[in-house]
Amino acid sequence: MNDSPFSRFNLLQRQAQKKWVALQNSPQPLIYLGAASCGRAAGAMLTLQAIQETLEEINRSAHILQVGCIGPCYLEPLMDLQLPGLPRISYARVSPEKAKRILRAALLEGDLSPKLAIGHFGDDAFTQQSGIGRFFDLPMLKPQVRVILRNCGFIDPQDIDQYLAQDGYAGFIQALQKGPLGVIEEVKQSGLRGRGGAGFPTYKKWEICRAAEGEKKFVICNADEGDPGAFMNRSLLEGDPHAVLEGMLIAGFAIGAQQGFVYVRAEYPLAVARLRQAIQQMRQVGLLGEDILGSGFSFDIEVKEGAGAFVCGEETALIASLEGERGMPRPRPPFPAEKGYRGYPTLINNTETFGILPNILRNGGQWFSQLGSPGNSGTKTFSLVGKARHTGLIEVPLGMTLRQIVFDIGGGTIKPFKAVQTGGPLGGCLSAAHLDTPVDYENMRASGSIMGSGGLIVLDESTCIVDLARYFLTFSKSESCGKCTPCRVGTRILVETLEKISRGEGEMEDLDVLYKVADTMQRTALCGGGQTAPNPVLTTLKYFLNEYLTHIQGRYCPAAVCTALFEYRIIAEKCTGCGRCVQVCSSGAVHGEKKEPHVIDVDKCIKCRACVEACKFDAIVGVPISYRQPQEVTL
Amino acid sequence: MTTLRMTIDGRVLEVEKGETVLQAARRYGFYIPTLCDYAHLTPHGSCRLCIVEVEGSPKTPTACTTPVEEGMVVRTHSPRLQALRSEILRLLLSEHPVSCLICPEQDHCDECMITLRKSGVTTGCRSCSKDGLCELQELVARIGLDGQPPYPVFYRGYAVEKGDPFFDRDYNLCILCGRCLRVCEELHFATTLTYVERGNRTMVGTAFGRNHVEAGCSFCGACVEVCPTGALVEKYSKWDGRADGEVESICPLCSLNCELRLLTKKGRVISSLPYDLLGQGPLCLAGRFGIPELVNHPHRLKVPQLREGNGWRHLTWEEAAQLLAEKLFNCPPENFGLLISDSSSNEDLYIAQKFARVVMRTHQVSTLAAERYGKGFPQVIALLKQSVSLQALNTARAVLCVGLDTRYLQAVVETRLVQARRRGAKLVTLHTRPHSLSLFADEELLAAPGQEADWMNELTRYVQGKSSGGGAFSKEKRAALERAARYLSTSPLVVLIGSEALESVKNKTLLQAIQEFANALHAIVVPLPAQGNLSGSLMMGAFPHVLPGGFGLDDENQRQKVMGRWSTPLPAISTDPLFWRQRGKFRVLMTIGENPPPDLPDSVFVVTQHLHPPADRRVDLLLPLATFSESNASWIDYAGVMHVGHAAVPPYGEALPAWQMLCQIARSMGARGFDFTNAEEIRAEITRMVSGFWEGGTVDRFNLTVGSDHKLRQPLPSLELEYLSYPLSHWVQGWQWLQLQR
Repeated sequence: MNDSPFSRFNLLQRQAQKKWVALQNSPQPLIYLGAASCGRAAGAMLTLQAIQETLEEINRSAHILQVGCIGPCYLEPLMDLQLPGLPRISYARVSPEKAKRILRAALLEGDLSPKLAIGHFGDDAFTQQSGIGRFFDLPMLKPQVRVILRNCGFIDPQDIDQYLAQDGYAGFIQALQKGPLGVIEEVKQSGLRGRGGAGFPTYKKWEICRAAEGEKKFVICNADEGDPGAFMNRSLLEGDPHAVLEGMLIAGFAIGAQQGFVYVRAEYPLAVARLRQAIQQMRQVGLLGEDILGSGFSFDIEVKEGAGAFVCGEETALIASLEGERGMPRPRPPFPAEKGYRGYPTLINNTETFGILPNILRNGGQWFSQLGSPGNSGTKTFSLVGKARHTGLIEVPLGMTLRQIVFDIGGGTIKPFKAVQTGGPLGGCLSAAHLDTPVDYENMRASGSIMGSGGLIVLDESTCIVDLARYFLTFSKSESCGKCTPCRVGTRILVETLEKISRGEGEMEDLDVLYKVADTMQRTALCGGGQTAPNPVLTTLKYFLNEYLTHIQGRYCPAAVCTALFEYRIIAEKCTGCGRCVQVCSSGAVHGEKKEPHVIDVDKCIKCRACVEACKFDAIVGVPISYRQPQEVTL
Repeated sequence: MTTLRMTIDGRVLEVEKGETVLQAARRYGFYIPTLCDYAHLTPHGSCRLCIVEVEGSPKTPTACTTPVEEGMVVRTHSPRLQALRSEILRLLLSEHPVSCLICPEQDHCDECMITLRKSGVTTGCRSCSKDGLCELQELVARIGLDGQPPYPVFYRGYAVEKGDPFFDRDYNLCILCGRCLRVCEELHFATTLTYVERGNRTMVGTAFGRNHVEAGCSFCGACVEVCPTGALVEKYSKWDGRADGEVESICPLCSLNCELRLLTKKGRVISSLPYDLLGQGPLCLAGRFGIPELVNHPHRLKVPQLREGNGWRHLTWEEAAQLLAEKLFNCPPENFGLLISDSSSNEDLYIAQKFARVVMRTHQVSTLAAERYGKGFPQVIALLKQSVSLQALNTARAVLCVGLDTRYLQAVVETRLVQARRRGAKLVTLHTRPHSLSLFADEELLAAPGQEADWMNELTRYVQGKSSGGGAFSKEKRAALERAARYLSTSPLVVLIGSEALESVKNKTLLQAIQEFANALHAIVVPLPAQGNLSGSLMMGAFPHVLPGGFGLDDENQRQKVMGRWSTPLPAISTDPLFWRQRGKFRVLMTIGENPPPDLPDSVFVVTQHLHPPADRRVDLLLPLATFSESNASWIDYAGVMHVGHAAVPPYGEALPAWQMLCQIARSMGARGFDFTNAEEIRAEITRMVSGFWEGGTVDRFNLTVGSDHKLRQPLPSLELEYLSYPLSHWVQGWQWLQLQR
C-alpha cells in the first residue's frame, strides 16, 4: 500500500466527505444554530434549549449543528432549518418561543413560515416556489465575498471531519508538494499583506524568517484582538479554528519552524476552547506532532492565553508576554523574524493572515491576487458596528469604498451619518467627505487613519466628536504599557486636555497642546501603539475642527453629550404632551399639563438622557446653555 | 570585527558592526542626551531623549537602539530634534515635581536656605535631596524647555517608602527610566524590581506589592547608584549632597575584602560605593550601606578617657600613655593579656603581637578566632592554606556550598554563583535550614544541625560509589544524595564553605569530612570566614602559638629569624594556647577593636581601644581607635590575596590606629624597635621577616604559609558564646532590623 502523506491524506479526506454527504442527505432535519459568542450573547443557548425541548415534545429527532457566526450579528440568534430534500432556510432573531413555533410548523405541518424566514441557501427555483429570498441576496450579504469566512456558519467547528470535507488541509498538502520555497513563491504571487493592520508583505516576512539563522524557529498567531468593537479574529477562531491552524502549519513548513503558538485573549473563552479541541483533533488524525502524515515535517501548536493587556497585540510585547515577562514592547531592530521568541527567529502573523493561507495554497496565488484592488489583493474581514443599521462581521474585497460598506452593507444610519472610525482606538475618524475613499492600506494611511485589524465603528449625529476622541484616548491611556515617555505621559495629557474641553473650560491654546503632544507622540513613541495612539485626536481635529471650536468658543456640544455644554429643552411645536418624559424623569425636572407642551426645569435636570430616549417625537433637544441671572437665596 | 563607515553630524567615521549609533557617537565624543541609557545595561529605549535624524528615514529613531549601518548619515542635533527633546522633557516633568526648576527663589536657595529642608521629598521644592545631582535637572538645564512652561504636574501621591534602614524610595520622583530594574536583573541576576500597574499608573515596584525583604532584595544598592533622580536615595547620605572626595579602599567587614570607593565630604565618610559596579559587581549591604554608619558611629570616642568613680575624665594621649606605661611596667608578663580584633589590619596585628612579645615578654596575645572556631581551628587553617580566589567559579562545572547563606552578607558570592549556573554549572548546597541559595540550587541537602558531617561523609561515599545504601538516611535522603553525587562527579569542582559551617558546633568533624571529600574529588576548596582579616592575623602571628609568618611557636628556624630581627629573645613557650583560659591571672587586660568580657574581676585593669563600651562592661581606660577609613593599612583575604586601603579622612577626634598607640606606649616604656611613623615602615619590617610579604607595594597574589597545625590544637569549647556573634551587630542598627525580618 502506498503510504505517502498524500495517500494518507486522501484517505482522511474521503472518510470525512463520506460522513459529510451522509449528514447532508440524512433523512432527519438539520438545524444550524449560530452559537458563536455573538449568538450566545443574543440568547442562542436559550434557543438551543427550546429547540431540544420542542423536538422532545413533538417526538422528532434532528441533527443540531452549533456553527459559527455567519455575519449579520444584528439578526442573532440565527437558526437555520434544512429539511430533507429542501435547501437550508434561515430565520432571524429566533427567541425560544419563535423557535418552538417555527419547528412545530415545519416538522408537524410542513409549513416553512416564509414570513419569519429571512433567506434560503438554495437556487432561484426555490425562491419562486417558497416565496423566500436567497440568504446571500440580502443587502448586507450581497456585496460581500466570502473567502476567509467561507466555512463560518456552515460547518461545526468542533468536528475536524467537517472541515476536512470542505477541502480542509488540502492547502497544507499543496504546500507539502510545492516545498517551502514554492509556498513562499505562491504567497508572493498572491500579493497577501499582513492583516494585522500595517500591511507588510507577508512573503517578505517569511523570506527574512526563513533566511534567519537559528537552531529553532517559531510561528506565532496573534489572536490578541484588543480593539474595542473588533471581533473578526474571535469569530474566525470560533467558527473555523482549523483554517487558522492549517495556515500556521503552512507557515511553519515554509519557514522551517517546529513549534507554533496561538496567543489568544483569555477574554475569548469559547475561542480558546475551540482551539484546544481543534488541536487535539489534529493530533488524533496525525496532522500535528512528530512527522506529520509521514512527511518528515514535525510541528506542534500550543495555545497561550493573554492576560488582557491591549499592548500585547504589539508583536514584541506579545513575545515578551509569551516568554513570561511583562508585556512591554521591545525596541526594533532586531525584528522578531530575526530574533524573537527566546532569541530565535519567530514568524508572527495575524489570525486572519493565517486564515487566508489555506485558500491561497488551495486556489493559487494568482486567483487570490485577482480579488481586491492592485497592490491590495484579496479580501478583508471587518466588524461593522456602531450606529449602522446592519451590524456584524463582513468580508469584502479590498478597495471597496467606505460608502459601499457603510450604506450598502451596513444599511446606513438612522440619524444622519457623521463619521466612521476605522482601525480601532489607534485609527482615525473619517468624515462623510471620505466616504468614497477605497478601503486599502495606502488610502487609509493617507487619510490619517490606519487599516488596523478591521474595526469599523459607524457614528451618527448623536455622537460628540470631542467625546469620541476622549473615549479612545482614555482607552489608550489606561492600556499604555507605561514604558516610553511620549505614550505614557502624552496620552494622559491628551486626555486631560480633551476632558478640559468637554468640561467647557477649553481655551484656544489647548488645541496647540493637542497638536504638539500628538506630534511628539507620533514621532518619538517606542512602538506602533504609541505612535498611532493620537490618531483619533489628529483626525478629528483635521476633519471636525468646527466641533472643537464650538466646544471651546461657543461653549456648546451640538451632539448633546458633554453635559457641561448644553441644556435640554422641549420644542413646544413637537411636544404632544404625552407625559412619557415625566414618567421617566428621576429628578422631577419635567412639568406640564396633559396634552400641553411640557417644560424642563434646567436647574433640576441632571441630563441623564432618559427623557430623550423616551420621547417618540424627538421633541427634546440639547441647546446651548442660556445664562440666567443667579437667583436670590433667602436664608 | 567588521568596520563600517558612517557620518555623524557631517563627520565621516569608522564604526564597528554591531555597535549602536549612541555607542559610536559617544566614542567619537558627540553628545546625545540620554536618561534611560546606562553603560553596559541593555538598551531600553524608554526615555526617547536620544532621538536622532537618519537621512532617508522620515522617523526619528533612538540612537541607543539603532544599530549602525554602512553609509548611514546621522544628525544628532537639529531644530526639529531640539523641539522634540524639549517636548519630551516637558512631558517627563509633568510626572516629576518640578519646583526645583521653576521656584522663584531657586537662585538664592543655596545661600540663604529660605526653604524648609526635607519637605522637598514630597513637595519637590528646591531642597530635593538630589538637588544638584539630578540627571533630569541637568538635562533640563542643558536642553531647555523651548521657552515654554512645563505641563501641570500629575502628582502620583505615593507614600515615600522608608520601611528599610538602607535607602528611601520616593516613587513620586521616578521617571521610569528602568535603570534600577535592569541593573537588578542584569547585574545582580535578581528580579526584585519590576514595573507594576500600567498606563499612567505604571510604576517601579516589587511584584504583588511585597516589601523588599519578601521580594528577595539583598540590599546591594546597585539600583540606588544608578537612579538618575531622587527616587532612590541612600538614607545615610540623603542630605549630604555631592561628595567632595573619593578614595579607593577595601571593606574589612568580612574575609572577601571587596574593593570599594569611599565618598567623603568635609572630612567625613558619607557613602561607600562598589569599586566598579558594572565590572566587578555590587557590594553586599554591609559594605554598601554599613560603612558610613560604622565609621561615623555616635559611640566612637574622640579622646582618651579614664574612669573615675562613676564618671570619665578626659586625658591627653601623653597622660594616657604615661598612665598605661606605669600600669604595664608593674605588670608581670604572665599577668598581661592583649586581645585584638581579627578584622584589624596587618599592621595593627603585627605591632600588637610584637608589643606583647617584646615589651610585655609574653605570648598572651590573641584574637577571638581561636575561641570562635574551637576544636575546628586547625582545620580552618588547613583549609585557608589551600584556598584560592573565587575566580575558580568562572570555570567550575559544579559547585558545592556548605553552610553558606548569601542572602545579605557575602551576597556578592551569590551573584557569581548565579553566573556560574547560567553558564551551565550545577549547584548543590548543604545546610541546616532553607536559605537563599536553595531557591535556585540544583540539589539542596538539608541536614539536621550537628549532622552535616555525616552527610558530607555519605556524600563522599556516594561519589566514590562506595555507599552502603543504608544507615541513618531515609529513602528520599538517599535519592537526594545520589542526585547530588551525580552533579558533583565532575571537574573542575569547587567547594565553598560558608561561615556557618566554619563556626558550627561540630566544625572539626565537618571540616575534616569536607577535606576528605575534596581530596577524593580533587576539588578546589574555598573557605569564606566572616572575619575581615583571619588570614592576616595568622600571618602576623597574633596568636599565642603562632609566630610572624604564620609559623608555629616551636619552629626553630623562624624563632631564630624573629629573634634576629627583633634583637631580643622570645619569651618561653606558654603552656596554654587558649587565651581566655588565662583570664583568671590577668592584672592588665588590653582589648583593641573588641569589647572586654562582662565577667572580669574588679582587680583587672582593663584598657580598651574601641567604641564606648556597653553598659555592662567595665573599662578603666578608654582609648579612641582610628577606623580603616582613617588609616593606610593592608588586609589579607580568604584566598591569601593582599588588599590595601587608603585613608579617606583624617582620624575622628584624637583617634589613633592601634599600631600608633602601641608604639607610643612602647616608647614611653623605653622599648626599642617601635619607632615606626607610617604603615610602610611596618610593612618593610614584616617583609624582612616574612619573605614575599610585600612586593613593590602592589596588591599581589600571596601564598599563605602557616606553620604546622598540630600546635594549635587542644582548645576547649568557648564559654564566651557572646563573642560568636558577628561584631557588626554591635554597630549597625540596620542589622538588628534585618535579623528581626528573618
